[in-house]
Amino acid sequence: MTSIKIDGQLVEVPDHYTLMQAAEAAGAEIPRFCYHERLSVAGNCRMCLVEVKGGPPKPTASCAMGVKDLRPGPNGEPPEMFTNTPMVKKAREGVMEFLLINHPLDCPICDQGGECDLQDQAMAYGVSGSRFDENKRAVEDKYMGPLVKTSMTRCIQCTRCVRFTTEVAGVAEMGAIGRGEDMEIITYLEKALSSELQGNVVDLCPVGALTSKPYAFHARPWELTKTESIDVMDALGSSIRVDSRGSAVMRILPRVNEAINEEWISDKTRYIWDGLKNQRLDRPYVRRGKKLAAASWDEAFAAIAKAVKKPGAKIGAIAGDLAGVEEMFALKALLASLGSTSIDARPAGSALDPNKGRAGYIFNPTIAGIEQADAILLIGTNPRHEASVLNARIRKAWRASNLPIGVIGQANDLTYSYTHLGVGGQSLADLAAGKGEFAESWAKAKNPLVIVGEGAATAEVLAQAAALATSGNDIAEDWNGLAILHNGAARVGALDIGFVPGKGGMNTATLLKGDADVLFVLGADEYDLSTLGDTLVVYIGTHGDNGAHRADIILPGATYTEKSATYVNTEGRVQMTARAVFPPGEAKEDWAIVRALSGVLGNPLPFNSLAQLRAAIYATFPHLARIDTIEPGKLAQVKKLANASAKVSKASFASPISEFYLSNPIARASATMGECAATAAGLRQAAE
Amino acid sequence: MRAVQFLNALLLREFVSTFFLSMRYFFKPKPTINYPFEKGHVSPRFRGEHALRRYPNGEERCIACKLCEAICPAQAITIEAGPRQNDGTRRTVRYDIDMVKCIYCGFCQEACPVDAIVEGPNFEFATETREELYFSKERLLANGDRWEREIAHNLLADAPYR
Amino acid sequence: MCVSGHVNTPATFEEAMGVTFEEMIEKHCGGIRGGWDNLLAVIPGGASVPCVPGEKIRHAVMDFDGLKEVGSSLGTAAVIVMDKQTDIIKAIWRLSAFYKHESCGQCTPCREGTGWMMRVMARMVEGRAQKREIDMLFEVTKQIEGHTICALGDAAAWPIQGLIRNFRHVIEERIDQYTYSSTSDGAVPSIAAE
Repeated sequence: MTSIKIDGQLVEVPDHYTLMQAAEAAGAEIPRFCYHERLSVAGNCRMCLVEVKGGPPKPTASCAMGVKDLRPGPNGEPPEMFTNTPMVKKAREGVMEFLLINHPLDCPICDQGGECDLQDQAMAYGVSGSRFDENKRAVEDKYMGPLVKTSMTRCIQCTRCVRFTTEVAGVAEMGAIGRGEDMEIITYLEKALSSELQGNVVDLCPVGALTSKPYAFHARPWELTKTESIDVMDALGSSIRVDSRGSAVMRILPRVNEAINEEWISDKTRYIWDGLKNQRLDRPYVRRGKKLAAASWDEAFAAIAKAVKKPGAKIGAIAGDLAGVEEMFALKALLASLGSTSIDARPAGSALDPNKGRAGYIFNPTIAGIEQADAILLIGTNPRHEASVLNARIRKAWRASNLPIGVIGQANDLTYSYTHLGVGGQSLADLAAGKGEFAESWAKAKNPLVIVGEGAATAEVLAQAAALATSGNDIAEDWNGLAILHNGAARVGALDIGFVPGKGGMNTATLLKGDADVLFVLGADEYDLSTLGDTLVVYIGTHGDNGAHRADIILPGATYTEKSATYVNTEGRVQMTARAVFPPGEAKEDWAIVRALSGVLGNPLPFNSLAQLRAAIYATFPHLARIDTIEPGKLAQVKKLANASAKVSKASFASPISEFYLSNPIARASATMGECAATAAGLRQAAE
Repeated sequence: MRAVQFLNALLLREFVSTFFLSMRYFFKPKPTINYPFEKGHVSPRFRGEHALRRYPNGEERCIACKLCEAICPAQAITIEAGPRQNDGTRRTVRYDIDMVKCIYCGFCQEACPVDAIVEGPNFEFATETREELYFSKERLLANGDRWEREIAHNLLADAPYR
Repeated sequence: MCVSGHVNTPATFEEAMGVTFEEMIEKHCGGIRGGWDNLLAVIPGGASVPCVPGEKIRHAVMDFDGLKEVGSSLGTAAVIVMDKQTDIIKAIWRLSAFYKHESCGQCTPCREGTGWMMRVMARMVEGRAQKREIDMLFEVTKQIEGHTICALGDAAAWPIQGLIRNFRHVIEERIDQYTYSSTSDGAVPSIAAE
């Protein structure tokens, strides 16, 4: 700790603090444009100038100067800095004037208007008039792909975007060309950005130079209703803020959550919102002859009741990626009341088993824990596409410590360097046997982290992965390095409440073969339903996608922005979405549909409200009541997994997500995501 | 005291003075105007019926900044914006004023950075039904076209005081 | 030291600290072109330091303290001598143009300020400016000075400060001249930006 005097107030701050952080600790606000706490320090906007006592007779950039760099007074008094002297005021006014002389006065047509750093700080630290009589500079707009709209005349060259893309996103595709006044921010060769995190530059841009293209001109920040919620596009459950106006979601922004997403979100999370309006199922449908015909809820329920009550009808249920805990719990209870245990929420072939303990299916080291890892092994996963923000976290760890990273599976561009160990089970067995260079560094690791993707979650792989995560001699005692990276936001929740086949029940693979007479499909659009034969498919979901096409009866549900639902992320963290808007048309919240159906079928489920349903869930699964916390998995369970028979699997591992932008029904309904997928395909083609 | 009262009564003093008062007004120029055919003076600052103006080349002025919507104390203005089809500029898709809600405070024209929404000199827009008072963008632009000369003149007249 | 400009024999040489300007010029450079009365101004330390009027520099001591006394500095000891033929405003404008061109664009004051200063200077070369703009220009140089990452900002600011401190009357005369001679319709002759 170092003590420093700020505006006469003595504070104690950690040694590594910059003057800016110290000032913030002392409650003195320092304006800034280029400084961002998660990016490297550039020190080029000069807005954060402060006066340092005993220093040179000119102000100092507080973002770039550490408290340790200041010299103490002649008698050893703590160093002193000021943020409110005339010198500082003059410096701020001067810098603000320079920033504004070439900044266009187009706030009324600028999308950043109302949430613009430059606007706010000009009000707080600027002067009212302009003395600049020359012509303003104009800069040509650049193309940055379908997500980021540019208006480069507004750019103040803070280079946050450049630093973000190179440091966090890991694609060196943005930079500045030209110099002096003519310096321009550009994507090299004006190609579209290829990062899955590019949308974050819109948030980072302190002015309106980079704005959101799909959101362009549609709304003003002050007219939006902000709902804090969580994301379900991947299994991370990133913290988001849903901005809505009336009945429409207008945009989605990240919230700071150090444990999960820091303050980044993937493009799929951010730009999915137009998919929430397109191709929605807004009323029940029943198949009559070849065609689906609109029906009333009563008709749809009657049709289901007819099929379910046939003597000897085999009933099953599959839950998809986006289902909340509430509806899965209700559906499980419904099927139990019908005497069926054929329920499953896992992809076919997945060996994740809740009966073997929670540690066997969650991301035990936690996402923040990635930064403690000193060796990482990725098995059958492409985290860049399956969980982009988590991939950024791995990159962050890699940048900080250059730790060894091994990949078994497809060799993709992950934005960091890694050792490609092979594509299948044999490579995994080799590593376990200690063959190869990577195995040597692995053996030395204190905190080894094995990330198993859903594409490789077979019993053999899980056993070997658990062994690799626990068997090293140097492994720290409190370290649990087995990490399962799920793809669906629903998955861990489903496993937590045991949405898996009970005794004698059919699993996903069997259900998909068409062995059931009635199959409830809870938003499961990622499966191939063409093999179902003459099974009566009851689809409860939101979008006219794969599931709805095959469905015989469609019950329209609510998306994650339209209901309050519990999701458990891949770490096992319990989180809850909040309702931002209402479901369209006659669509209902999914749990309510299941509850209403149970009444028609003759055994009403014992809850009439969301509160009662939650009480029932919490009674059975108390850990789900603890929102925002993780019920940790036990290390012993992982060790037990490791002791299971470890046959070598011959299969090669592949990530289940082939197209990042089109991985769920909402994304497939989104025009923006379609455009992104096309652009990405174009970029891939150009690269080949 | 009594004598004064007596004299006033005898000479009909109050009656006479009243008579002269009426005579004075009788011969004075009349303030009453024959309203539908004659109209009184309207100040350049008069806040009457709203209008959306255009530039001389026919381009609509409104840039959908939504400041009028934000400042409107009666929340009478509803705007939906988006990029225009042909050139991608920021334009309104919908610009509605609920004239029933409007309190004619003039904040919208104060807030407007491009003098697009103005309260024109027209005050004769009474309607028979409530629905007719929900002004759409077409109606407001038509108002602007109809009253442009007067509006421009008024803005010019008021400009030195702004 | 390296003396260039309007001296009879421009030269590069080594000289002890403490020699006066006059001695130095007479000894190594064969005197000022057109004699000492023809000396207008000297930039004693390379393009980045303020210029000093001839009468002040003549007896100044050419070391760090001596030049500080006359409001300049020794800098790189690249002495630029200008005689009365020189258009001092244009000379300083040329330095401004140089610094504008050399600015890297990283930090705000220099990126935006050098271009602004150069443009105002370009107008002042012609006299196409207001007298209040002289003070404004001076303030702008003060806003750049000391607020940048590197010293290029300071270097760009100082020559103009020197000009305004020492040759304000020249700028004012130029402005007056332009105002009187400008055409009645207010047409302004265009100048090239660089």
